[in-house]
Amino acid sequence: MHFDLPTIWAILVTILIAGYIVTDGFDLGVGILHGIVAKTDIEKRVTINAIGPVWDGNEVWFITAGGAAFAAFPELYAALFSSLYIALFVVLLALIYRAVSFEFRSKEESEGWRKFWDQSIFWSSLLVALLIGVAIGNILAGIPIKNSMIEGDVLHGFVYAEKFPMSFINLVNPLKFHGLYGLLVGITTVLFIIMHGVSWLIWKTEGSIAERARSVGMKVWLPFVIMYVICTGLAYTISFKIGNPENLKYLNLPQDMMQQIASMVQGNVLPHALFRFPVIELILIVLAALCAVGWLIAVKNMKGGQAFLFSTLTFLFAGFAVMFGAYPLAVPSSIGLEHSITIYNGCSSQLTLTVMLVAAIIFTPIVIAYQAWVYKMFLFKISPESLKREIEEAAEH
Amino acid sequence: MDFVLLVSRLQFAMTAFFHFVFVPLTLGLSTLSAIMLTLHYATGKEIYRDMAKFWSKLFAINFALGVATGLVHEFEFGMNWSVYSRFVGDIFGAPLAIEGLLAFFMESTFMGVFLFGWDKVPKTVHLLAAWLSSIGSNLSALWILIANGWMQHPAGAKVEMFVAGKRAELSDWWAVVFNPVADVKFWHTATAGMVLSAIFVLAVSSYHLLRKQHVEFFKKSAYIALIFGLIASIGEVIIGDIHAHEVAKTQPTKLAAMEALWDTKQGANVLLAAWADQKAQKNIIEIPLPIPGLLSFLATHDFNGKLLGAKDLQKMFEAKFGPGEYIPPVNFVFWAFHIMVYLGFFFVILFIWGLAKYRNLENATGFLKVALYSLPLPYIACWLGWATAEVGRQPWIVYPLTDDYGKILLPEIGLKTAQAVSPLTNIEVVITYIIFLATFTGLAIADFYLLSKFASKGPEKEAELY
Repeated sequence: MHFDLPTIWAILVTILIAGYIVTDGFDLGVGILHGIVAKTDIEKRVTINAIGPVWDGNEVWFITAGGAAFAAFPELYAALFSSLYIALFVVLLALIYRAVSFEFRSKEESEGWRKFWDQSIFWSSLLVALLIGVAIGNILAGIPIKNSMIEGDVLHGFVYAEKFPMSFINLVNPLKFHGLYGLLVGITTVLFIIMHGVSWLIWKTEGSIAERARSVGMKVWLPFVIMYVICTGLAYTISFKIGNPENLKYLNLPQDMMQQIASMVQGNVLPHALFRFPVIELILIVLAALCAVGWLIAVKNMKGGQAFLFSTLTFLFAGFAVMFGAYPLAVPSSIGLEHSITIYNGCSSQLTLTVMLVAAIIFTPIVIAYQAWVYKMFLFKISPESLKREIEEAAEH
Repeated sequence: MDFVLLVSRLQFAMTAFFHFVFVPLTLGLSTLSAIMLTLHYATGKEIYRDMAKFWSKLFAINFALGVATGLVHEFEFGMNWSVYSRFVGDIFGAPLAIEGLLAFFMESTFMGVFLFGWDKVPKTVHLLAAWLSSIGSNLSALWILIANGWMQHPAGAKVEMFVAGKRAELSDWWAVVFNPVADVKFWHTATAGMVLSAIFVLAVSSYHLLRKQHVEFFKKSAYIALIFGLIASIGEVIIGDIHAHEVAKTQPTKLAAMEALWDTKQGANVLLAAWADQKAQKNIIEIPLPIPGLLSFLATHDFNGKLLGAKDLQKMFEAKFGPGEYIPPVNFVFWAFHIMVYLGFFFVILFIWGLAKYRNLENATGFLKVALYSLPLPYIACWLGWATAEVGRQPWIVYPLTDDYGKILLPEIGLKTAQAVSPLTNIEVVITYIIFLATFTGLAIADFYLLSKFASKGPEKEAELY
């Protein structure tokens, strides 16, 4: 691993994506749990109020991660977003419905209106969680993209080799490895998101909702751990074939990294591509597992703050293990390794990366500081009882 | 036109238009709410508190869809315009990322504190949050317009060959940030948001004053809107003039289309109305304003200044870039631009009229009716402004860099819209176009329904529970 600008930006974009999953993750989880743990209208309002002041700000992580990927890795952004066109479209649609569901639900008294938006909150949250996981899984396993430069086309960059509808179907096609892996990571992500939502509800609410959240948490823990083990294990079976070794120069990797890869190639295959920092990865995976255990204990004892910390750490350790595993590949190509997007052939110029780094160094700590401050301000407990009291008091005025 | 290109353009334009239903109100109403809250905390009067609460509730209903359509907008660059995104990402991506980091986090985080913090956070914190949210939303506009301004006038860039292909690369960051086109675009947009919000507040207030309900409340609201709107609308006219001057220098083909100017002229006249025959390269009808040389003066600040006509520009561009159509659709751009300008002047008059009638506003039925039915007009003006800017840029998605006299300095940075589209299939773009259209339309209707429900209800006190 080098400490050059593309690497620093790979870490920063990973942090932004992790920031998104850690922050918006719990409100996605609460969105799913909204359909499970909240039975009465009052309870439903409590679950929405539990994330009311913060989900908006959380979603900004997604916009910022998208913007940072655009700025730091434009080739990656352009290739990925046009390749995953329909999948991304579904995510956007779900995010839109989710955003307006929160806003619109309580604005009408009628039962049908509220039921509609309740359903919308549940399904959109579930779909976003699932598809983000599906996308991550597909990208890790490698999708059929090709570098048009290899054919002498200077304008199109990295393009998807398959056309719709197969380009979309194969993302969730269990008969294709990347589709299968996508599905597995998708399910794992949903389970994690539910766990993270459980942490938040225990932390932020008390009474019936927190109780039910706890019992959901106790049920999803084991399936999550099993899925995580399966995904991690399968990751180490991923290998990449090489079409024309001459063209590996298009990966634009630093000299020593090229040699390292060359020494690993067997025949025309690069085996176990996701295994270049075994010690670091192993430590991170073990830490993720330990935090998952810590989470279970915290949930059992109804310690919301601790549970939140542990679910956050579980994701961060697992996420960074993935980043280390994939480095320096950003999107491996299933057509041939030489067509892959790496952090070196997908990145912006040195000047842009430098300018952006200065901006990130100044503003990221500020953003984290005021977000933490706002969270602290809104971290009082709420419950169906407290909400009823508030409504009664307001009615008296 | 290629089908994928056509639908991608329609989809992007549609997203932009829906986005711009919600954004200008966010820009201005956040500031107006912050002003009302400041008045409350400064004077201690309850009425200002109720005002801030009432208007910020409408603001909140409007905000969610602004975010949602903005998110789609950001992602559509990569989804539908992948060639554009990879060609310009080195420069264009940076302002978008900084917008998120610097402005959008600030706007949405503090908006949460403002809307949910009544009586829960200290007064100073609450007030600070209202202002930070307003500043955040306007900063957000600044960075987006720096990105958009770069497409119009790609300053601070060079073209390089990279391992994944040819692309534009950053050469001077400050030239991108202080791009003169971007900076006037920002002020033009920010003031447009203020004018729109002022008319929004004025129209809702007029609705209630016509019914003689909550008279004090809405009279005060209208007063704030009238003063705010008058300042903003006069500013808008001045900035609009500076903006047109920039366009004349940097995008001569756009200016020619905006003014239906076919022949190169010294001392050119402003046309009040015109209808062009694009094929024959002439106007069938033209009604000039009887002030000789006014257009030359506005564009070059010299009554005798020379303006290049579309015919000569077409020849110049053909010589440089090969055969093709280099003049945007003249009738469309001319009328989009002219109706926007006429509306701009109308808004100034509307605010002056309102201030003249202010003492007895609740009985000025004529004015109140006009103000109420003016509500759609600033929205139309905003859309037409964007249509002028973006259709006027065609056939380019990145306009070739020019110097201050319209001479092309960096032809190779010019990228045509037709080259920039993603390699998608017809069916994909049709699916997303239709579903986005249906979704946005449905949500806009729901949004307007809620806005009108809460706006017509007035400032009744009720539980603030989401």
